[in-house]
Amino acid sequence: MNEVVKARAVAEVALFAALIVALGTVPSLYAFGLAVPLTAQTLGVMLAGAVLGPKRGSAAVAVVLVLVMASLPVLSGGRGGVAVVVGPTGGFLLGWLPAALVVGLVARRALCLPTRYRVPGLVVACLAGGVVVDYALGVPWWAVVTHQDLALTAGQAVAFLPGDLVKAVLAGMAAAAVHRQLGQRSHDHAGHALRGDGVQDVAGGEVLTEPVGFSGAVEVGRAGDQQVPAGGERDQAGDLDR
Amino acid sequence: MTLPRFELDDVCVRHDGCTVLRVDHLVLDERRIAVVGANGSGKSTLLRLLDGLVAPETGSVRLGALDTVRDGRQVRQQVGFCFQDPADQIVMPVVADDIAFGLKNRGVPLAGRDAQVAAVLDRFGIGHLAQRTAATLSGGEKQLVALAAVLVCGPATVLFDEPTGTLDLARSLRFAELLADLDVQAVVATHDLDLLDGFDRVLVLDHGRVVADDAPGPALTAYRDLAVWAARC
Amino acid sequence: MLTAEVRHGPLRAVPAPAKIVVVIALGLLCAVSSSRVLLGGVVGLGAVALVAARPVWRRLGGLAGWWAVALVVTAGMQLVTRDAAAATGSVLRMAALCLPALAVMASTTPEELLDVVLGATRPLRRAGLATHTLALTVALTIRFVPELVDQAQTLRDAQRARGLRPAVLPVTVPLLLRCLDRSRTLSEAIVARSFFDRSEHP
Repeated sequence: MNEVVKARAVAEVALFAALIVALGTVPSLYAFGLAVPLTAQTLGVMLAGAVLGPKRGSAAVAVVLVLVMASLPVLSGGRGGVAVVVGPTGGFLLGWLPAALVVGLVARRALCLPTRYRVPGLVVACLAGGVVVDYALGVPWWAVVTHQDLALTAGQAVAFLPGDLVKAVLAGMAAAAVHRQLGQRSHDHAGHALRGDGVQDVAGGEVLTEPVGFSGAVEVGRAGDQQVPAGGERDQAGDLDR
Repeated sequence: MTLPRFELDDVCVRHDGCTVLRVDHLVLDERRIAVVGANGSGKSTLLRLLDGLVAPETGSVRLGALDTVRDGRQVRQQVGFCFQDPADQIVMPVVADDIAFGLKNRGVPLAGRDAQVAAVLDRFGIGHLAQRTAATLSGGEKQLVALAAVLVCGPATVLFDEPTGTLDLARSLRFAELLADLDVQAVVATHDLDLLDGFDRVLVLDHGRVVADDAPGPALTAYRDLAVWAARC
Repeated sequence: MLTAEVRHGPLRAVPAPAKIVVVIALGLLCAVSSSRVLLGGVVGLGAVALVAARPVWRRLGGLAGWWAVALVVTAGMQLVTRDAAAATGSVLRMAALCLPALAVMASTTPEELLDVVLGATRPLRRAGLATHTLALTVALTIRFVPELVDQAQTLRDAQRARGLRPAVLPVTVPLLLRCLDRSRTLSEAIVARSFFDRSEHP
């Protein structure tokens, strides 16, 4: 039913926007046995692109930006408002939009790769959007707002790079885990092998344009992290295209 | 009072190449109808057919003279749906706004909305929850809010998908009482056999087909036999 | 989340759209200009506006503090790497950008601002954007933030109970899967509650 498909887009976009906000509120999380905790909000942005795809992922980011402009305290640290947008990190914030778009576009390609290349592919997608594109917008804006030269600002930005690189890797791994769970569920149901064409779901009217149903374990998490629980009643994700 | 009449004719619903539900002919016009069956038996799909949330691949589903696919809008005016997890159907941050949501979608003007929202909140004794945010509600409160939001639109039929699935025994009993008092036609998909006291008709589904269709007593005997048999295999 | 304390003052009477437009216009102007006179003027104007708005510091304090830190750090870096003139330039520009924005935030409620932002998207209807759908999406987002925060907290606690530090993947992956699960039933509820049956959706 067409309406359920439209509603599905609304629901996915809203829930991922809520996820991006929620990840800004949750206290720090650790990774790879490092002593330094991370704030996961930018992870949420990359995940929106990598899991929902370019259109819905950037729509989720757009909703978050709407909330920021309405001065709701949705950014990590409880910040919000037009003062953040015109501030030094404004470029990084607005850059989330093209970032999620790029992550989604590259992730789409990455999901067409053979299994063993998917995690690296998704990590590359997150790096491309979450780091390259975001910094490309964030750093010049920072320089303009603070009236510093670009070189100096770029030098300052480098301090944040290690953290963001780690986050991009984590986002790629998380997205891979999610797609694997979804693929397994679909695989169980219909025994589909890798397909490049659409799968029509009569019940929900979904069209999945990504190949699903691959086997092979993907290493998820390290340093004592628990394994992701096996999927029970999981449904197919909205495709990475609408 | 004449009850709403659903008619399924030569209906088949498929998903990924598998048949999820197959019904040759079924008429539902009793006051309290239950649909029981194992997970994956097709009960949820049957419910969703009645509301137009799922379209049959073949055949037709009608409510009176309305076709659930072609006339979905009118069908949904008359049929409400309560989902298993009430949190999934509460859409607005504030309770009062959520209850008004359905009325707003049906074009009821603001003044009328406020009055009807207040009335339904009073009816369930949850007037004090009107300005609360949905996330702060307990499970039982969420269920009442979800039900109130459905009933405020005045549907003639309410579909319940596993209403006591997440409830403990006390709450389940309370829900059964609530259900008995509701002046609507109710079609309930459930595992909770205690809920079926006083029901008019019980359908037993297995692997997408109706295998028993009777008064509660005989139907549940058939269901138990089925379960025993399945457990042995 | 939408309710916020905003005190009465002269800026309350100015319509929210006008305030937003002015802030953005001033922002762009100050971003490109290096004129000390202009920047100084805007700083003065912004400071006066901020005082007139009688800000509730409980609401704005965090943000103002963050700005102050950014300002001090930047000025410091400029002093170290260049000279006092450069530092002054940075301070002036940052203050010129920040003060009017804070003044608008102090004198406008989030609800009003949300209306402005959603209203601004109305012209996009021609491009296919349904503004009612956007409003619903925004409401849904606000609705689910606290639930997701709770779920994340539960997942973190589960990690703690195993004697582990809460790690990124065991928290985010289940959260993501639950969001996708939930989106399915939520989408059915949206349709069942007649959202797309409204008269605006032919």
